[in-house]
Amino acid sequence: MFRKVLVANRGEIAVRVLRALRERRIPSVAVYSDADRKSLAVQLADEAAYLGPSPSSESYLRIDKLLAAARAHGADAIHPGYGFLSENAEFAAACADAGITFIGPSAASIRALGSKTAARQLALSVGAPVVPGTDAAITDLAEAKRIASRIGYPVMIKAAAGGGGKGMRVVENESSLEAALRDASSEAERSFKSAEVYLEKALIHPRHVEIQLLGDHHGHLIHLGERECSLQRRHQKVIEESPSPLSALDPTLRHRMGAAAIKIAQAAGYSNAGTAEFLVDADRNFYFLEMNTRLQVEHPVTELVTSLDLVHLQLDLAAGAVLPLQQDDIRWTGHAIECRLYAEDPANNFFPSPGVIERLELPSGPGVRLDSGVYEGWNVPLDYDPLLAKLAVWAPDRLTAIARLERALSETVILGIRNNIHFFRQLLADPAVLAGDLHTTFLNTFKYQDPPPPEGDALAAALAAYRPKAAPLPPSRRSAWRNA
Amino acid sequence: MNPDIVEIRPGVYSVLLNGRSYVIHESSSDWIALNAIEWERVVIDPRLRAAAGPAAASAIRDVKAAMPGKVVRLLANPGDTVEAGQGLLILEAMKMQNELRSPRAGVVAAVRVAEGATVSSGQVLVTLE
Repeated sequence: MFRKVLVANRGEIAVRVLRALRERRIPSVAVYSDADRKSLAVQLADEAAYLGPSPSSESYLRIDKLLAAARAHGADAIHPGYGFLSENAEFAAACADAGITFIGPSAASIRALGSKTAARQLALSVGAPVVPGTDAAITDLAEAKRIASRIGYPVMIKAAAGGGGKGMRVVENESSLEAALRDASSEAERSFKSAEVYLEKALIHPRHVEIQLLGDHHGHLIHLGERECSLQRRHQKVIEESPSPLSALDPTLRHRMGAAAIKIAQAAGYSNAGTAEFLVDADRNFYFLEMNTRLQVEHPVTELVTSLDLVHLQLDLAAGAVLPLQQDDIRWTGHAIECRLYAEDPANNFFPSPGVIERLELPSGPGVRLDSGVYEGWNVPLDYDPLLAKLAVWAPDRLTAIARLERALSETVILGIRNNIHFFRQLLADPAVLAGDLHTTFLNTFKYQDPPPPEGDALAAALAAYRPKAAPLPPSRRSAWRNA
Repeated sequence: MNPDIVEIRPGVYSVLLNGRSYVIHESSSDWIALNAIEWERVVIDPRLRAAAGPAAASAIRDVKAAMPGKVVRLLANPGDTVEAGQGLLILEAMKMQNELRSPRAGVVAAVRVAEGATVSSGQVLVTLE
């Protein structure tokens, strides 16, 4: 096993990996930028290394600084988390060149799968179903127009190197194609240092269902079943669950998708944890979208239903261990569902809301798992993704899991910055969500409403009366409470 | 109907009112949480209330940044006629792009920022005539 592991990430995922390292009694190194000196990750790590200024281009995206930190601290492996450099083949290769184990697939596998266009070609070569579209990056507008009219509008523009909805646009007709291409391409360039984009037919009301894979260095690959992540806003997942409600309708779907995912991964010589993303249409046809060659944000729901620890397994597999599990060993029990707590304002078009968390009350109790990167007093930086924490629950069945998640949210208080807790409480009460009737554009039409006002002003008045220090309000004014 | 209020720890109160149990969390800002739902304390001045509603939006001249961020793209130029809800510019923060929309129909008098500029919360970005 490794002597010491550097975690090349920040926020909740850095904390998640550091916890696994502590459980395996492996010394850990956290990294931080100027904005993250006081991060939870730095506090929980055995050692910490400074990377540089807050912008990720000067800190978490700097391969040279990360490798220098690993060398300086004597780390012999790097866990990349998700985002940042986690799917960067150059980084994986640079680690290998430096004699440091990259905890993930090989640089060659990332190259074969990391670009969506390459992954698509690979999927086609092994006979896995894909969404109609281009097999290579778009080079000019005329070509884009020709292809879009061949596959038919609406079409989707996607960043070849991307993920998380960055560099992604839906185009309804030819007149908006040019501007969308330009925007997607520049967003892709900023986010992934690659402006490559490609086109795909946009399916109507598809579900997003993905398969978790695990592979060792000896060619053995298995799947850990599916996660349904159809509830997305701006192509960013907000709620994930396992199993998919579709599994109750069609118990063979998981294994058919799993077999397709394994075939694609095998063709890329894949090892370690990875996720094959699929769209599923109304007739339960599935289409391979892309491979995420890393640990996913939503991995906890798979852990909760399989009782496996994916980060522990990643460590073992990266160290060269034989995967001790056969496909038939995998059992799925109960239902898990997770929501992503973001620093954003649902009442104001989900605008990001950085700043100091003045008060934080966290949920606990039966079946509750919280993966958080924050604490009371933490200043949420504006430089990074607004994910604060992931709240996941397990219960014997789906409706109990939803009720449990709602209960856990009702115990959660975040003051000082805006957040999406109440948005989730509304969403989880929606009849379509309860029925498991989901699709990737569901949230485009879901209307968030402010909660009903508290019972009269009695409580407010009572509170004011209790605090004699508070200046009395002038008679011409009265205090009230609003949620917007 | 006299509430029974106890301070559990600084800034956290348990309130029993009409047999019901409430928990209030205070923060230093004007926000509180009542049974884990957040509320902003607003002082309502009858004179301001009279000005609120549809009349208020028509009075807005300065369109301000709701949060710190970076101007990614300008969508309107001085002299442009814009509809209510039309995009004026795109602001990026926390890796997300947000379209700043016009609060009302009107003519753009001035665009006060350039593409690529970093802006702070409350900064005037666009002025309408």
